[in-house]
Amino acid sequence: MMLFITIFLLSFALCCLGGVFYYEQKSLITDVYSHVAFPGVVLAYVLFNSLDLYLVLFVTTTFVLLIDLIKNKLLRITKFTTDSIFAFFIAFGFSLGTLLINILQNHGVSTKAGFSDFLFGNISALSSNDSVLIISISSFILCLLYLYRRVIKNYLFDQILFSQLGFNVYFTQRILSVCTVVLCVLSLKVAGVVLTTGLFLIPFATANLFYNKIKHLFVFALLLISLVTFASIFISLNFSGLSTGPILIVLYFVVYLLSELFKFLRFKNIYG
Amino acid sequence: MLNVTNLSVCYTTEKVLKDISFNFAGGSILGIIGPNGSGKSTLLKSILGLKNSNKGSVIWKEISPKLDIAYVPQQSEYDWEFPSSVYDLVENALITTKNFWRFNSSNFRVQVDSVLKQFNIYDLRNRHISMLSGGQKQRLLLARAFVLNPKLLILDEPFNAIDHSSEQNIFNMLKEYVKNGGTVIMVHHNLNSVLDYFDELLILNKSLVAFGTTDNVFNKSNLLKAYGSNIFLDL
Repeated sequence: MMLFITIFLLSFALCCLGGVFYYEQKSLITDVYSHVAFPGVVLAYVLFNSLDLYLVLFVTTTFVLLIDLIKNKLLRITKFTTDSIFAFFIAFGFSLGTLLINILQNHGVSTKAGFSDFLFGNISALSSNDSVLIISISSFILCLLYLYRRVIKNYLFDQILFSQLGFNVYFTQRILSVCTVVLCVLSLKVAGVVLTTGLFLIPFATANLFYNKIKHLFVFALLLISLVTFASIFISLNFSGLSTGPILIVLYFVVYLLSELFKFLRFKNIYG
Repeated sequence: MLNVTNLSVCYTTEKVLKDISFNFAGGSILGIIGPNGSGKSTLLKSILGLKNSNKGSVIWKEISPKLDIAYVPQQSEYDWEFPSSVYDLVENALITTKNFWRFNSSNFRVQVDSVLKQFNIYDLRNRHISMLSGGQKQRLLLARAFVLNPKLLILDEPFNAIDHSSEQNIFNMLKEYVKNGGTVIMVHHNLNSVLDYFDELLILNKSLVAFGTTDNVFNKSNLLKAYGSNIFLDL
């Protein structure tokens, strides 16, 4: 039950923030954060000789936010598009993480230190302390997003009016970035570096196929997330050797494809 | 109302606006015309403080740029697939830093309904914004600006991609607004309607070609200076 609540709340918080970045047309940002978080995890191990989630969260979030500042500066001064810069950082993050692990291995640190839990995700490695941390932070971020939902809507639709109404665009962007980075780091242990972005985007994208009102959209996403989370945990508990992270993403993707097919067939029936 | 002196703006190395100076008293409709790439939208953004100028000054008198001006960018700058109804979009414009934490929809219902009725989109209030026609979208953007009770309305090509009757409807609303004490500054591209629409005109081609009352400055010589020889108008 604890595992279900942990993954459910984390997935729902990720889905809500995924929606924000979807409308900002920066869907890949979550992939950037999760890949840049990877060397941050190794750095946490180097500094504290531990992969305790609390320590990892602190070090990695700081590291990713520093890299985020460099990324933002580059976006302002470079001639390259946002997508290109994001791609540079995705490649850089993963390479740096792998390189740091290689260096550690050359200095006699075992590969069993637990890096693979963060690289590919391993829900069975979640301790109850980890679950409490994930549940508390996810709930806090969900409350924040709910309380500020109207402000965020204004920010997403029209940043000029948003700033004319007295709000600070930069501050809002920073708050959303910090929330996203924190959730990215927490989800590494659930879905891993490569799969985290799927949790951000696929449930929201699927819900977005059917509904264009925010309330309906998130109710659908909520149902989808609870169903897929339940199914993933059930499958991974009953078939040993199957990780919950990849099952989650594969199920989400299958539901997404079926939804596209359903929508296409319905459209065909209505309009011939 | 607006005093612009020697305003120059550069994008990287290219100068988009060169030494623009004019004095606009307000209380009328000012049109800004010029060929593509002449810096019309950049001028609007500079006077609003959304684009930093490299040289010169923009001074507002008797008006607060943050509180009294409503800016309506081109329709194409918005994501119309955004999950919002017509009503929500107008209502959300009333959320400020002072009231967002205790925002109560019912306190603003009368105000929002009244502006929706004024712009003939009250019947569409529950409709998703993607389901609107070009003219309805433009009226929605104007309603969202009007709900803020601005003293000055700045519009960037509001008649783009809308039919003639919608254009006439919207223009009549703007005329009514000016009659009631408002001021409009508008970028416009259709030269055929300039004489009918604007009290004052600013002709731009990176530098200022002419500024004054429309009757005085809308002539062949100024248009040739701005548009070159590719201009066919029966003036």
